[in-house]
Amino acid sequence: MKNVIEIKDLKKVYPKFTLDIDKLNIPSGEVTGLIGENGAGKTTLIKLLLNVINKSSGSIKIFNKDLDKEELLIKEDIGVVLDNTFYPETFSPKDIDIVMKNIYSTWDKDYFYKLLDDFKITYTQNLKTMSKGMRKKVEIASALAHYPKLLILDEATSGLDPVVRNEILDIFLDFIKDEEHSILLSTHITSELEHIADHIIFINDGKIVLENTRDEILDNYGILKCSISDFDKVDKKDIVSFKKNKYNYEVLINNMSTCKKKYKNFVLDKITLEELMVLVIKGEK
Amino acid sequence: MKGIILKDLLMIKNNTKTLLFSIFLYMFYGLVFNLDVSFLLPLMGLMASLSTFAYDDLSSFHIYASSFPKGRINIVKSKYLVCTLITLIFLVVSLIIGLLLNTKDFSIEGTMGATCAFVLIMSVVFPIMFKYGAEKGRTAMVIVGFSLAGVGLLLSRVKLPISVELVKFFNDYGMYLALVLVVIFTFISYIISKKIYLNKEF
Repeated sequence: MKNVIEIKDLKKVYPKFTLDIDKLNIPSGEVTGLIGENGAGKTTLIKLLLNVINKSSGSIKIFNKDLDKEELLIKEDIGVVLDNTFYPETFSPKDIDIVMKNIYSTWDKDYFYKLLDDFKITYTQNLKTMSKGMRKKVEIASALAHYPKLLILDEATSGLDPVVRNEILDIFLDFIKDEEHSILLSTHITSELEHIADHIIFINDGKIVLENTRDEILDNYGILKCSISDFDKVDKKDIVSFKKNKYNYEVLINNMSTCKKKYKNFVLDKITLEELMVLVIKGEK
Repeated sequence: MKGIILKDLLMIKNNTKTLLFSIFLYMFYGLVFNLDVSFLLPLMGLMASLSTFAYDDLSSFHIYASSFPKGRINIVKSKYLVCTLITLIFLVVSLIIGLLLNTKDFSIEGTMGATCAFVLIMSVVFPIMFKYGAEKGRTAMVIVGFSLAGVGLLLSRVKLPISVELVKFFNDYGMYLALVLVVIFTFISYIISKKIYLNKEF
């Protein structure tokens, strides 16, 4: 299977916002990072993939199956960790096991408890008495314990301290190891994606503005820094967007190797995904 | 579906102490004041099943459950089944306690009639809960409950020209009629809730 998710002409129209994706293929066996500012359409896309909201038009295929026709089969193989949605706080991991083994035919009780042991989580402790990090680990354990082929994670690590975040990222890397599994990860913490994502999708104002492998993006995009007087010397064809600061310009370019030769006297820095986001969203064209 | 039913039952189980306390209170008042409060227990059962909506809203469980296979339809089925089950259990417990205490105004028909009235109210409230959530559902329950009570009070004060045959008919078959109405109302309510919830966006 080449793509785990295939989207065609997908539209979700709200009174003040439209998610509009002509074509999007999310490769199988990889970690795909979904980035964009708040309200860009990341969660809307994830909700459409889970059929939590109804699409206005278009088609979604997951595991090469039509989501409208084979939702039941598809959902057996999806694990989700969503932001602030889970079991009631009075539940303990033991309660979650009782429920989940009656929901997923592939639920592995032993694996669930093994994951909890690895996370050092007590089976009988209520979710409400757990820290945010512990709770998130329970959510991840319950998402993994039915052996999903695809993990969909919406802000799964937001609000966690760096130590817990790294632990969780290691779990994701472990999950992806055999290349049979895929992860779609939506996050504000773009530095995470620089470490674990193979593929990046950048959504802005309901549209995909950039989609490529992480390496291609980080290798090809860069920031050219120049004085206000030098800005006019930059070829307009090389400018993706720019930001005027008090004393200089920051110019986003997408042909790093060419620009390195072309602008030898300029400062040309590698870009981070965060800088890329800011320059695409806030930069002038 | 078993998973979602278990989830609702586990949530109710977490409130066992409150429910047991209410049974104790019921017995206490019944004994001390020789009053029939048997209708309160089925009402407690209904309220306990309604509380699962509030817990779901609080944890946004609806969104999470929508990612389960058959998640949405099973949530609707579960709410109705759990409500029916809990109400029946509480009705039986209430009748047993009522018979044991044998308080002044206690009658099996009275307790069952009151339970039927509560279930009819619930059949109106459930689709509202599915559409607008627990908070608005509770408000709707109060409005529907008081409206019905008002209509009942009004009818009791107005001398309607009811024939003796009609009174005899209600005396003989009123309970069966109420049970049939409960089944029909609950079924219609389920169909409406299913339609609302399957199309609901979170």
